[in-house]
Amino acid sequence: MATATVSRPPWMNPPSVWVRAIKAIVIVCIVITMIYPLVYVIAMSFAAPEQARAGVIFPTKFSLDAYRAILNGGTVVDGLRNSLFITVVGTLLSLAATSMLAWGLVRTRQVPGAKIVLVGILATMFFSAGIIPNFMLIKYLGLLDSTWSLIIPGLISAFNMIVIRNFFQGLPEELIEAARIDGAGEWRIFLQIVLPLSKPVLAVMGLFYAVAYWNTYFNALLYINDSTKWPIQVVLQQYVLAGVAIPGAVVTEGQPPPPGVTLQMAVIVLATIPILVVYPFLQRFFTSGVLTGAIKG
Amino acid sequence: MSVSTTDAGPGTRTERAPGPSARPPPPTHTLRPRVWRERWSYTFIIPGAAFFLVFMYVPMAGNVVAFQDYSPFRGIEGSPWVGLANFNAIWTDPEIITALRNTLIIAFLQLAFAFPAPIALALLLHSLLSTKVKRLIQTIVYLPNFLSWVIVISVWQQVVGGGGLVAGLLDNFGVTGFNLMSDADNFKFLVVAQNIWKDAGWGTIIFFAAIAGIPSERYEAAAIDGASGWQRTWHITLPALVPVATLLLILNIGSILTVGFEQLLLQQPMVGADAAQVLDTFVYFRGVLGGQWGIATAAGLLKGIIGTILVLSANKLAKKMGGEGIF
Amino acid sequence: MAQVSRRKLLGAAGVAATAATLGTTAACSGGTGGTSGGGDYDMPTFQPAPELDVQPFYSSETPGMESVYTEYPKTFFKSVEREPGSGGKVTTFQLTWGDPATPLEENTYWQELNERLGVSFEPQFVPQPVFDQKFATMLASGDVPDLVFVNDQSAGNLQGIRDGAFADLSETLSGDNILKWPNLAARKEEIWQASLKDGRIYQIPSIVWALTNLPVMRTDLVDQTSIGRAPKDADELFTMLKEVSALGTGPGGQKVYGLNKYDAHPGTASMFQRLFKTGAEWQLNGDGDLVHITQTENYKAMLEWLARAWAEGIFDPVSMSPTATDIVSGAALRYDAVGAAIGGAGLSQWEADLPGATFDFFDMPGFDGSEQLVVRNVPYGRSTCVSAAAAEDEDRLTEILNVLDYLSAPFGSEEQYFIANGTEGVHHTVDAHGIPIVNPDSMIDLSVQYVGVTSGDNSYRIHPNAAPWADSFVTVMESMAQNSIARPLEGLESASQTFVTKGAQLKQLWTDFETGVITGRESIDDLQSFSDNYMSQGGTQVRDEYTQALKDAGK
Repeated sequence: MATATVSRPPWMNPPSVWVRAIKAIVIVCIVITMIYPLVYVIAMSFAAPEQARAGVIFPTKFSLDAYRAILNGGTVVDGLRNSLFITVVGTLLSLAATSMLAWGLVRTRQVPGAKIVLVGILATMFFSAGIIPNFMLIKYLGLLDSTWSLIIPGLISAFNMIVIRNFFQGLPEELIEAARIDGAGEWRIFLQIVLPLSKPVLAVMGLFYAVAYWNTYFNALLYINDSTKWPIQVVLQQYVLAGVAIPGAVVTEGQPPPPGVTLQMAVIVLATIPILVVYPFLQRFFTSGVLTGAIKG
Repeated sequence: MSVSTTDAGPGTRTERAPGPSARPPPPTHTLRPRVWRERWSYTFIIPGAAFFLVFMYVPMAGNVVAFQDYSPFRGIEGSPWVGLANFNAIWTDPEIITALRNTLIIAFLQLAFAFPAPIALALLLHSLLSTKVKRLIQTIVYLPNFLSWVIVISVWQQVVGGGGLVAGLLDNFGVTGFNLMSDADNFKFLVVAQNIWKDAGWGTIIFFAAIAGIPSERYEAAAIDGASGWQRTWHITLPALVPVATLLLILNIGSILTVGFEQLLLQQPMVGADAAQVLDTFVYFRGVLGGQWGIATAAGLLKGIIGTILVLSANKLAKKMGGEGIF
Repeated sequence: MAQVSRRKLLGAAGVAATAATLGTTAACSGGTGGTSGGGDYDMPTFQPAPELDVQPFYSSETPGMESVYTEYPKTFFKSVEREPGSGGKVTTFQLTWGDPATPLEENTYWQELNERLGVSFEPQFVPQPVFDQKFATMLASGDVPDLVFVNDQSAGNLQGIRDGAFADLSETLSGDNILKWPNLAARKEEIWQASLKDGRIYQIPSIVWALTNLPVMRTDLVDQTSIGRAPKDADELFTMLKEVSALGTGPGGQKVYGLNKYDAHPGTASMFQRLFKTGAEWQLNGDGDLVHITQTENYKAMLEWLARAWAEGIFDPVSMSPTATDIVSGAALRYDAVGAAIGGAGLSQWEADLPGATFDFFDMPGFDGSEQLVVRNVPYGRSTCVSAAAAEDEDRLTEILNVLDYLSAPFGSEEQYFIANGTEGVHHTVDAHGIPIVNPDSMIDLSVQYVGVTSGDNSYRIHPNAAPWADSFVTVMESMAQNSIARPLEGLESASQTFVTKGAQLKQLWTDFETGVITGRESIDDLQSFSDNYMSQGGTQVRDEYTQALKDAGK
């Protein structure tokens, strides 16, 4: 633990050796259990084909075959582009729509009808419409085979909306009241006070939305027939399938089938990397002091 | 201006919630002036409400097939109405009891153990001083969330399954036959442990957002008053997490009948249906695989109704106990 | 929503009448020339595909056994003379796995295929994980593509056929009518017979092997046992497997067991069903009554044997794991797909992957020292249906069937060679054995063509890499075929509506009990109460419906 290099706030006493030791042990245990599968996944993704086929637990010979096979594929680049579009545009639109609705629903007691809307939205978390009606709606709206079919139906998540609303409710009332007295319009209050004060929760919800959009899989399979419009997860999953025997199919002569395990693991690595890359940028929003800083300024 | 350090933090709420045009409500009881006064709120609400209407409620009308012997090609108009037959098929099935019992036990264990796990983990990580170490560990503990259940179960098999790492260690001490993965008696704890392992790290994020909202002045003031690290965690950090924790708890209670479908389906062959059959796998085998849309939809409707009732009750209860509730 | 549904209803109106009739007469006819839904027809005439220009390594008349070839054909016949299409468009709904095909503009194979077909071929690729869901939305939307890949083992797909989404081809293909499409005609009557739905032809079935899996042994391990490679009965097999488990580790330090995988019927369980001669899932007992396999004495003996095998450590503890990647041990006996074993990456590759390991095919004995009893598969595989709406126009139907005829050209034909391998030098190269090897980069181009119907030659083709095992392959397969029976319910599976809707649930119940007994979670003494439960949860209905279907079919 490299705590020595950190400047301790003057008001904080150094914790006792025992507390630090116990904490360190607990954290090391957690990290080990969580890191084992990751090492396993990464190692298997680089396993040499013969070792993967022979079924070793931890490979000793390595190859880039799986990555080469996947990245050479015709639709991987398309898939990345599609997913990037869906994720960036979708997350921005979702955050805008969700925070707007959440702010509108903060005052259920004063606004007639707001409570009904809120309960109605809450209920959608527990009822689902099923595949066919959703498909028919998308078809009716002419969104089949359109990238928008992967963004619009997931624009607002009831869960995320309710969580943001919960955070909005905790915002200091005085600040908003003061702005109102200063003559700020409702939109200005929302854009210049509410949203900046809510950066941590917006960052979290942005992450939730981004991950959901990035992982879009099932809807894409249902709504998009044109494979050049498939998001990356669909394209990647197809490689996993390629390693699986097709039920009822007769295997004919030809190449040895690609070792399914390595492909599968390489797919996980490739699909997770973007989240690893984005995450550190978001982490700074989770540091204490954002709120106070904003209020003081 | 500055906010007082002793009140109005995220943990303690003011009576009036902030919101569009939050002027003190004049004592009026007629609807129209109230609506007119709050017209700004509606510009925020209507687009979102319209979204839910079109993309959630319109397709939900398709749930009428719960009362049909539905076939996709014949459509809703062409499929025969069967009254409550689909609901009866569910309730009269001898295995519904097992499925419900397993579902409720797992859900209860989840609430008891998996629910608090991210809170504990967030507090632990928050107490670390080095930002670098903190961020590194955060990143590591999030990652299992992105592994599919097939991989998670495979990895667990390698560690606590028959012939796995733990079994190998025990073998050295003469204890043979260790296989947690096929132990039907402890299966439900295994399920919850897998859940904690996979999702607790990811679950901390939302609590970090809440912790981020705590003004550091409050820690300073507490430290000046002589509060120890534990006391600061107990009296400042934890209370700040209560509103969001309550919210998540209420929402989780609504989802009580939904426990990890894929996770349980995959492990059913190893421990048997008596231990691993839950409501969703029950419906899968009866409705989905048999092409019985009516039964699957009926089960979904029942779950939805029960979930909504539970959430509304939990919300009421939370408010009775002096908490915030959702609304 | 209302508008969408109305549109759909209009589309469905044309077939509503047929659908209604079919719905009520389900399971009432299974014989030749059924008359339930439409006009009279005869079974399509069988016209064998031209012979290959190489001599078979082995050929046999035994039912279930196919010719075995070790050489690849040198010349290829032309299977159809005409150009299939006349400039129209043919849409398909087809299963895909792996990367989706390259778009038409960049896909020289697809462009060439369009030219050869004489139509604009517009496939819709449906990834395997969502096939059933997509199938349902396709039906619900009312837009049924011209050619649809159908898996009639899936309840939802079967429902689509029953509801009239697809054309009744009985009269179109009746008797010699089918000779207009020689490649479609290259399938035996038994295949048509088995794939009938309510006595009518809705689907064009693929040929498929009656025996698709066979046991493979690790000779390096088995040779170290006191029994050797040819145990005579269940007890000797038990000893052999137990001694392999006792070895602990094998070549390369790999952990070894007698068995390392158990999955229920039709998985590895079939191997032990053959050993214990348990017969088909539904079978006729001595009194001529239909009984379920679990109600037989042989099944009970099999379960006892397996439970003992588990208790005495013959099985790898992870044998029941659903994920194949968990199984890293070696096993004395495995149950492999024939195609994989005799393919280019079969036994020879397995030996190369694990130096020291040697493999051979294994001839399963009968438990009591007699011969094993093998149940042959459904004699047809994946099928293709034609959209009912598209078939209303006779010229359209002809063009669609022409295209399907071309796409289902038999092995040994020029057409099949192109379909499977593309153009030499562009999409594939020919290896030292004369076998075309598709360039890895062209693989995804070629996935355009998979509509899922194959015709004609149904032989076992051994890759030169697997040639050293050809003799042993023939011995084991011939032994299986000679001791094989067809299922009494052949062609009548879908005649039980209860089986269609409750089959999955019953299967789960059965599998759960079976694995429970083997692993010691359940007791064999509960077999009777399990059986009662099975019958009361739908088994009785299934049995009665099948009994009726057998009676109607005159069996």
